[in-house]
Amino acid sequence: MARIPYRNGRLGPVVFLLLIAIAMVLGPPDVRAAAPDLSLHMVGEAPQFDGTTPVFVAGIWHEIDVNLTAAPSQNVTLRAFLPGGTPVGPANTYAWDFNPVTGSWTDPLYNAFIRTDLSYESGPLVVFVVGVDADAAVGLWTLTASVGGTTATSETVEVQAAQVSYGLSTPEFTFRVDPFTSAQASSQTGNVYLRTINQGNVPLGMLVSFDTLQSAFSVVNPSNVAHLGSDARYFLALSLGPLPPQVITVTARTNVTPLYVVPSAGASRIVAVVQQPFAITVEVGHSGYAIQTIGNVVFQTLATVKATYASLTTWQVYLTGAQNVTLDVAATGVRLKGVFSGSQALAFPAPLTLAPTTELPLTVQIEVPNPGAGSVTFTIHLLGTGDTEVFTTQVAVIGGPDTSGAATATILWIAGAALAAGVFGLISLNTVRHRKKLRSVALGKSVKKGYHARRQERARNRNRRHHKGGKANARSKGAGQGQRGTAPAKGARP
Amino acid sequence: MSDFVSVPLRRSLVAGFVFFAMVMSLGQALAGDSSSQSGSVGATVTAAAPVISNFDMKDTSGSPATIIGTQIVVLTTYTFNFRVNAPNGWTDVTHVYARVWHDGGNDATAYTGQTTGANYRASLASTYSGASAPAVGDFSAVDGNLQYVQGSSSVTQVVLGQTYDFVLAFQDHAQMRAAKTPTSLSTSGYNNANSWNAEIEVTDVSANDVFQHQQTGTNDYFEFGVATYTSVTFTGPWTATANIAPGGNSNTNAVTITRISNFDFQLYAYFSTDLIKQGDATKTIPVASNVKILQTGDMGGDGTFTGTGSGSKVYVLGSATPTYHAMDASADSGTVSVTFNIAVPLGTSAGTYQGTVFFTVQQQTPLP
Repeated sequence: MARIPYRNGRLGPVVFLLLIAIAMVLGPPDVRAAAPDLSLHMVGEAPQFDGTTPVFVAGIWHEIDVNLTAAPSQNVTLRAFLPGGTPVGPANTYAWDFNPVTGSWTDPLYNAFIRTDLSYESGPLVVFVVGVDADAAVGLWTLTASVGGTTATSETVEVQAAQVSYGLSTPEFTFRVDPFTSAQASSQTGNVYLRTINQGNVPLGMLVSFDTLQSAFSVVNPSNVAHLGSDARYFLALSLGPLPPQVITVTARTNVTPLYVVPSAGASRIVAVVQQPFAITVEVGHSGYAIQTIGNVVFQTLATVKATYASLTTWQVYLTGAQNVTLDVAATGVRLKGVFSGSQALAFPAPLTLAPTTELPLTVQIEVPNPGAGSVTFTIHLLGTGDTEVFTTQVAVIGGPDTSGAATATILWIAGAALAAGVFGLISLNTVRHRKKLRSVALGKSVKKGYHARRQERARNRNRRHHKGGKANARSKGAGQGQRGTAPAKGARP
Repeated sequence: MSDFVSVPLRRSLVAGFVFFAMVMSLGQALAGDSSSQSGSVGATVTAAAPVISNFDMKDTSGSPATIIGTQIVVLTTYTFNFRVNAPNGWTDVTHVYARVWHDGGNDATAYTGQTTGANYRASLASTYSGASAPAVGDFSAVDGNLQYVQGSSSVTQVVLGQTYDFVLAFQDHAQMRAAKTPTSLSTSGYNNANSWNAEIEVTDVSANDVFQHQQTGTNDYFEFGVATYTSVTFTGPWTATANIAPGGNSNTNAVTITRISNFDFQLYAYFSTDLIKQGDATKTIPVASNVKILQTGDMGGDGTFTGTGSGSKVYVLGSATPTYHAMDASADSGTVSVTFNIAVPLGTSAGTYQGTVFFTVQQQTPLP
């Protein structure tokens, strides 16, 4: 195996130091231009372009970097003008000077549009922090830098009107924390976030404020500047000390202010700030519980309880408050087995002693003897103020017989039984008729009689009725009544 | 009993018992077993209708999560995810639709029944006529303010010419109606009034028209909410159009305010301080009675500020009653032009005065 001397030992550091030395000699690339040039950007922002043309936003401070080939020894003058713009004024013409001898920065035309506190010179780099009036004419301007009256470099820039544009998306922020427990919570858990969008060409300062629980809320990973084109998402964090059960509604507010605004040269000026409120809900209560308030008493129960058919179901409710109450509990559609404080069953109306700093847990036990939904109502009467409020827990029953099928079966059984009774009735009728036929056969009568036979029989019957003075009508009495052999009354059909 | 008598009797009895048994059997059959679920059995015979499966809608995070039962955010990319199997071949398919719509407060409102405007319903749609396979380029946004994000969409072949997986990306425009988070998803129907619903529809040449409304897996009908969104854009500051002599007044330039809100809202203004002289903060022009907004928007007349602070608002849209300016049914944004008038009291020191006005877009809360 060949040896490669020095590679890992001595040559590496030597090369490294050599590179550092070269870098020190050459200096930073941005301050050592091969030829003078100009570049610009808003303070704290990346350069903006319209196509390839640099953008200069009216009314906003910009940093204009003049890169010379050497540190200037004569005045450096920066001029910005709209070609052909007349009359000369803030709408179309500006000039700014740097005196390298005195280190002074001036705006000889208006004495208003330069930030002497932010402008600086570093060798061949001369940085002017300047602006043009918000009402300056928009269009393609010329920017020139000259040293000692000789133009060193120039650039065409596009002056744009400032546009403050800010969008805010606010979802439903809901935090839940257990009562009387310190809690840390973040909306990041549910991926719920504020979204801020700067759609304009002005950097914006953003501040989120809260009308209550100010010290408990914070914006996770905030940036107090909404940069140009930024689309940022911020989570909210909550750090809360122990609190009694309650629902706290917080109004948060984003205040968005344009940054780096050039003061107006006009008589008066009004600058807009955008303010957008949004709501946050903090629920201090048990997970899944509805938090109900009556006066200074808070009652927590499940909004809905799922109970299995034909079995016992229990859950706890909680009472907290600064006054004592009586509690009455009633059930509809389910059977209330009892309400217990510890192991002791309560008799209703049950007087309860409450405290604002602790919860009184009660155990509710129900049985579901019937299918279908039910409910349990809690009537709370405040002994101090006399207020009364009713809260309801719905009971959703799981399982149970299919009531709609059973009803159908019952109806069909009744219908079937009725039809069967009818069938048996017909059978009985047939039986009677056949017995009559039997008797006729036994008396030697033909079952089927001819016309003459029927006339003779009717005549015999008339004679027999006349003889007996008969009153009855065998047909009207019905066969079941056994008046067989009696003749039909007069007028009756044979 | 002789045969003469017993035969008819026997026949009647047999007939009666058979009839009785039939009625009882019918009753039992219709009633079903007591432990079984009630329901109906039905079948629609179609000519090999397309089948839509694997339906979901997701965000586009690293691990895409479903958006069912959540609030989505406008101007953010989400996807429709579903599979279509065309048993007769894709050449039979005529349309594929991926739809969302706000139910307008009634779960029974169908997509076609939502006619409020483009901020209340939208679709991604494709039309075919004998195409052998689908492609992402087939789709476009129709009906509403939805942007189809083709670059984030895909169509993947499962079975050549027959079965394809679709991932169709979209963004809601900024004024798509806000809706709270649906909390009661259901497997039997859309179950959260004032939520957004979603569905997939596929039609074919055999007049089959199939829908999928339910998330695959949970079988929940697909419902979601949309987070509130507001935006304000100013075209510039207001500056008095002329120097103002003490005792006089002047209008400022008009500034167009572009406002976006995906629910009913108010737009109001107030000053945090009086107008302050530049370079000498001890000199001010009181806002009260000296500054007003000229009549515009919903204003019944010029709105004069009565002082500083949020208690002295001038409502440009909506009112203090409170009433709220209705959100745009179809537009992506709206504008209002605002001009101030500034009066300079006698005795005011000469100079430049500047004030900061707070413009607030406040949406009506809570969402229904």
